[in-house]
Amino acid sequence: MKIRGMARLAENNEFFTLFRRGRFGPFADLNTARHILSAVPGMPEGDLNDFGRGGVTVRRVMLTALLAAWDANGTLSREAGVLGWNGDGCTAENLAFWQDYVSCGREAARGGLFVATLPTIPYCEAAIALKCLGPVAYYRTAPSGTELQTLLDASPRGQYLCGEVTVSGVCMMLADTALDGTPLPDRPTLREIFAAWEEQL
Amino acid sequence: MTEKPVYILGAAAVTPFGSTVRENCDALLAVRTCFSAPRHFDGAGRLLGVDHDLDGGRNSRAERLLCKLESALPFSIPPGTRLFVATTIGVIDLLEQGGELDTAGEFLRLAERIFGISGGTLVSAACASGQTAAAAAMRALRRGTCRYALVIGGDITSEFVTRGFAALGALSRSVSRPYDADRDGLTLGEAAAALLLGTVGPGAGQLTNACENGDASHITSPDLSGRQLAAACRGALQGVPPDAVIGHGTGTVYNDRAEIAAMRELFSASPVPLFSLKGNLGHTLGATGVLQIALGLELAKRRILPPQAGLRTPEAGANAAKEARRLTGGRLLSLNVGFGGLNSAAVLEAL
Repeated sequence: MKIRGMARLAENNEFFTLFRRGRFGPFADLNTARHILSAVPGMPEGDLNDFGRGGVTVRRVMLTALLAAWDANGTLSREAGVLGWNGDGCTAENLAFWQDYVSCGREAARGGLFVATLPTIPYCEAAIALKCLGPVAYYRTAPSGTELQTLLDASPRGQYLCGEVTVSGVCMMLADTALDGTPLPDRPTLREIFAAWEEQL
Repeated sequence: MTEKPVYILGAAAVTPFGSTVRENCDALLAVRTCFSAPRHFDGAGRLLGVDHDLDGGRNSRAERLLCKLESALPFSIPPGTRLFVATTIGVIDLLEQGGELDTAGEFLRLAERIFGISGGTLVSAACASGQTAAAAAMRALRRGTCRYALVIGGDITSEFVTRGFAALGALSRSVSRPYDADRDGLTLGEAAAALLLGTVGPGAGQLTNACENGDASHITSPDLSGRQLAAACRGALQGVPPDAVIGHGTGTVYNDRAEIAAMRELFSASPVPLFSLKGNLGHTLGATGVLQIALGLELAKRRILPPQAGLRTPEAGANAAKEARRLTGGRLLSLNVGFGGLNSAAVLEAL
């Protein structure tokens, strides 16, 4: 498996990419980040018309996915899949939907908040923005780069944008399972895998 | 290249109809439905596919569901079995009671404890979770990561999910009528199912192939052309047509329209019989994909497809029927579709 590109977003809305050594921000907000990043030369064309539809997590994943594709220097395939791995899941979104519903006297719920209660939603939004037609799923495994490698190795051959969302940031990696490459370092998070490679490069 | 065969060595299904695959298939063939008002929350007059055996108790309803499934397993779990768990929302009732917890992650931990397998993998792909988990297990077996895999799919009925789908306008005013021209939405249900898969046969059947993709179209609506769903089916079928299709068939206008479009694209010359178990059981979310394979295998063995519950007038192009149909072979295509444009197709064969 070859890693084509990788990007991470820090808590202060600052973005970093692995191979191209890009550093963007920190931005005052994600909407500003969207406008500035979209204008970066070589940035893949992403359909960000629905940028405001999702919550903060969706926006963070969309932009980090865009940057991981940029880091891969235009090699993102239309058939790429988008996978979520570990991280925080959607506990915050579940609570937001439920507390809103309860605070409205249990009379009416908000559909928009309900949709966000699936852990795949940020990755689906990234797939829609980047027009990726591969599979989208969220996996929770033991926190280990080896587990993630095993998961990706067993997947059908092709490209996968693989992401991890936590309260402190987002990390996205574009992996190509059809190509040979260096095994993932056995670190517990994608963020730490990013750091391990950053040290080596 | 010939893929390593993956055998279905055992299957279990726990639904309001009963705790064996046989009981469940008999209920489908008798066109029974299991819809009633929930007692564990205010359903606001809505009918759901409720398993009232799960009512009461202080632990999570999902824990009771998993315990019921474990006691219904008709097979023992071999040592070295890897666990794959599918759910959309897990122990959501604990969050409703004030817990701030990862409800799907907690469901995985419960499954690990109840089935005695550590290091499980949670697979979440919206309403395609069940089949996506079975596909992940199939690939892990082919890759040689494990010798056996236990795939569990489960979800409970809850106020959280019922109110959420109601807010989206996705619920039927009465009950789900998959593939009917006058269908008006889905009915929620609850169930759990299990598959024991392995590379060493013989088994009752094979999980022959699977393919997943996305349509990158819209977050809650499928691409109505059904093109990507048809592509997933082609990927799973590998040029060999099925004898029948167990569709996702939620009974919503859009889901069924996309599926019917995909079926027309694939089988226009020779339509293949289509059936959805959601007319009997409701939409069991993360369980449905595993349930479709478990019950589909038994139906394939019996070479029969049940009458479509809820059907009055089939939607144009839908090869659904009010009568049971004899199958000439035991090769079935099973479909799952989920929010975000997720498609999953799996092929199973009775041996």
